[in-house]
Amino acid sequence: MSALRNLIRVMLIGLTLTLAALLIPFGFTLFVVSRVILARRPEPARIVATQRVFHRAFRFMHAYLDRLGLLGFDPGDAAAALPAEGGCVIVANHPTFADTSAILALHPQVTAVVKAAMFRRWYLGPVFRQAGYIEDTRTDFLGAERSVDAIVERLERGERVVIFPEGTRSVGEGLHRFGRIAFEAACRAGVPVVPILIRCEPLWLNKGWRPWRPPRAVPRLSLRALPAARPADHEGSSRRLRDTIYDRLTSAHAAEPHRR
Amino acid sequence: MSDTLEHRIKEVIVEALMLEDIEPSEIKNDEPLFVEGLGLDSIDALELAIALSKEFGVKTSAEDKRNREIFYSVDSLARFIREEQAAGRASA
Repeated sequence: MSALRNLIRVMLIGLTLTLAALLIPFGFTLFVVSRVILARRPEPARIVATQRVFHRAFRFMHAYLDRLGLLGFDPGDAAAALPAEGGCVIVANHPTFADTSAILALHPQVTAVVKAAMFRRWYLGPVFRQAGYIEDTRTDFLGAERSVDAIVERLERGERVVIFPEGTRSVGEGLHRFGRIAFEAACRAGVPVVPILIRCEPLWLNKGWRPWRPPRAVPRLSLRALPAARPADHEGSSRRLRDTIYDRLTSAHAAEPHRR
Repeated sequence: MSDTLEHRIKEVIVEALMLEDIEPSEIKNDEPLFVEGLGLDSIDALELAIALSKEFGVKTSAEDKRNREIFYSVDSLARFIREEQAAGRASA
């Protein structure tokens, strides 16, 4: 019975991945259609509407994966930890490639900072721009200023901006060194940083994952908000703010390591 | 003279980036400054570029494709500063 259930799961994973492969990039035509529909609206309204489309799409995706028994989803208290009003920076560890969609599924209005390599793909860039997402230019040496300026502008407009300070998916049990763009922007805009611990139990969709070998138990992606930190409590130093958040996330991560 | 320039670059790195636990003499000339090695990040790069411009009068633009190479180590920075200063003297 267990072998049959596993076979069905592998087939469902195969079907889901095939659909994804067929739909990407063409599935994004749906977003492009929404872009055309929303094009007449002025920018803030267009961004708000598109981010809401993304939020609903990702919420649906996680509910679908949860319902099929492929990837459980537990958003926990993370949505409630976001300030009701005013900008904030959301940072998280990055164990799986479903982390961004999980955070965007939390709240209808979240601006993502997207890797330059993805942002510059011809079929993704227009969609990201439509949603008002920000290109992460830190890989261009001396290019970080453009990202920081763009993030600060959004934070000052009261937006929630999510960035993964590791810059790439976590490897093994530890976290990569944190970059400072998120913390520098928070300090310049004077907004809090909300750390979110992401766990996938057992670990799956991580670097080097194999779709045809899912863990025996259904993996569960869970989010947990840790105490926020404010620039004012760190003398406005992005380095100190970064170190505080890094300590909080690494301590929480070490206390609850991913099971393979 | 060359030791003085390399040492001054190290002092600028420590002062400008407020590296609290590092002495300039602890930074090796050929050690990578970013990610591995000294572990500086993208914001440090911006601050360091501004500090070097003020201290030595040399500027790099954000679009310069040699930036990663120039900022690789104290040695590579010293080489760049010498070249820029020599070019400045030649054109004067």
